[in-house]
Amino acid sequence: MATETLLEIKNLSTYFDTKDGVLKAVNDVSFNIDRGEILGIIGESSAGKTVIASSIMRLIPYPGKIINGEIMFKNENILKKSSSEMSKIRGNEIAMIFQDPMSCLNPVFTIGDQITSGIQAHKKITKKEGYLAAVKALEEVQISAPENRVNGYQHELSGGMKQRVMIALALINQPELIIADNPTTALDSTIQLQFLNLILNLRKEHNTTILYITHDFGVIAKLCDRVAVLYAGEIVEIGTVFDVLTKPKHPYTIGLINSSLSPGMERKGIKAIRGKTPDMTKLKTGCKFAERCDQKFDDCVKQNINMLETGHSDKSHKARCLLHRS
Amino acid sequence: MTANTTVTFDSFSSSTVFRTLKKISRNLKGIIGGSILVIILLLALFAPFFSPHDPYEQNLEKRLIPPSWVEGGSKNHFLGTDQLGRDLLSRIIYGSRISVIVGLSAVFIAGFIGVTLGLLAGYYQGAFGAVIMRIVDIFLSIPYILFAIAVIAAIGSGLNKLILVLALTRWAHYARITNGKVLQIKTEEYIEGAHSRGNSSWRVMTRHILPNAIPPILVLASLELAFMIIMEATLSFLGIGVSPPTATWGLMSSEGRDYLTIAWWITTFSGLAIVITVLGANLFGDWLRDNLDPRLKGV
Repeated sequence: MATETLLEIKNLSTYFDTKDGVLKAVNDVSFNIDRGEILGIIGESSAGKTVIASSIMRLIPYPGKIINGEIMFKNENILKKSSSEMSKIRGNEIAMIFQDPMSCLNPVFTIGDQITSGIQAHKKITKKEGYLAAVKALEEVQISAPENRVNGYQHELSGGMKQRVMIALALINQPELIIADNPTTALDSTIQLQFLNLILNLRKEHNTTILYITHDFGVIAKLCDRVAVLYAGEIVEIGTVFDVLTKPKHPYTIGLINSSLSPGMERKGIKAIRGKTPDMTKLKTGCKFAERCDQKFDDCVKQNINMLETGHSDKSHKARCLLHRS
Repeated sequence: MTANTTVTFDSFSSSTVFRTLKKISRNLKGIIGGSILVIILLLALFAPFFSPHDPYEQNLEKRLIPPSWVEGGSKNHFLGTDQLGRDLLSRIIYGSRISVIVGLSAVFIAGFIGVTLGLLAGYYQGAFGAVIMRIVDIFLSIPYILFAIAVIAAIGSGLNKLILVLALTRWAHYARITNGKVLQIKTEEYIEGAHSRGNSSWRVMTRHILPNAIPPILVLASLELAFMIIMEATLSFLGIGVSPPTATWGLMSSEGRDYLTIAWWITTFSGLAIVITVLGANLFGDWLRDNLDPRLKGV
């Protein structure tokens, strides 16, 4: 089956001009997603994951700015679109599921009104049609008694239900790309599993492409086809989930995998990465991870490092590390 | 036996009468304030129906008649007459019209200007918002009576101009409250979500942000109503508000001042009318605030 590239990001840099200097939240990030694929982006807090998402939506909060790069969606550069063209893309072709379901729904509107308003932003429909569409959308995300819920307010729903309403909202106009920004952080693990299954189901039914942002390798393993590891605004490793999880190449990825928990492991078995993430306003030349890396050598900080092929069979598995220099 | 007593007590405490009483005592401020406002509104709407006399009919033979319960008072003039022999009660009833018109329209215009600018400034932070909010700061720092006097001196007096001047002196308060609220709501995820679903900026502002910002604005408006009524009375008292012979409470208390030693009732009752109305608006505003936005308590 020939794959079609749906979204291609080339050399994206997004900076925030703050009082303490320029904060380089996203630095020269490139990756692509094929239609129907689920790509995971993993990284610590403040690594720039959310900024990538809001860059694609072109909803970067003030004072952030895209400095450089191209975001090609269906072979058209999103960054060159006017704001009214962008409004047509948002919610219609690219939709987003947010981090905190607790604060994602407007407290003064009913669930039904919000879903209807999501449709109305793109086409004219009557109240009745909106109501029916809302009920159907809630049904699709397996909310029980949707015809009652549709008239309820967000405070009447549980966290898991709110998250499903968020999916319903994202899906309402059948977008081709869904960006899910850490949607399971606020959910407990049973609800989380239901949520992931729901996402997998939706992909199967609609062939939706998904960009999934998380800091949980468990979620990546369950859900994604490929994964990109983000550190200090840069992708440090990218490849299929199997390759990255079983044969991690970048010391940061290795550290991240070692520091994640799994049931039954010994207490002393958890190895945290020493040090902390660098101040994003004062990034140095060279490998951003060098200060925390046990295998660092002189060349690491001499110049910025490119993504290098890691040398095994799959050429798509790359890491930004001189250990793999040939 | 004991069990029985408890049951009776329980059924009493949850009885409808008890609950109604509790509800009333909790909302006493709102009930009193609201009733006062409604009564004033009715008086203003149906002034000709309620007034016993024509408020502009002069009769120098009957000038300065004291209230009916005082020695020398007339049953015909319940609150007595003023220096031109006009019936005081009728004039106070007609005076409510000016207070209501000026109060409501000034609050509405000031609110419209302030909320619009505050919303825009909050939404488009950056340079635009900064400029607007600095203008707001400037307006807030000017002594408002001085400002009103200066503007009236420049553009002249009259009912319409008075309303405009009052609105101009107070819009900045709405702008600041709205701005603060919008800045807070704007960062909520549901607003980001509204953007991400392709709502235009205008739609997000009017349909998603504004409805969330309404409660504190409503509270401010009800308290401002009291302020506007006082301002109108003040300016009329100073002789730069509404011009005679129109019946307004401020003007009446000013005119009565010259006769204070021989006819205390003119100033007293017109002043009392102001006090009661303002009290009503304040009580109502307090009640609104307690119920809509408890966090604003004591502001």
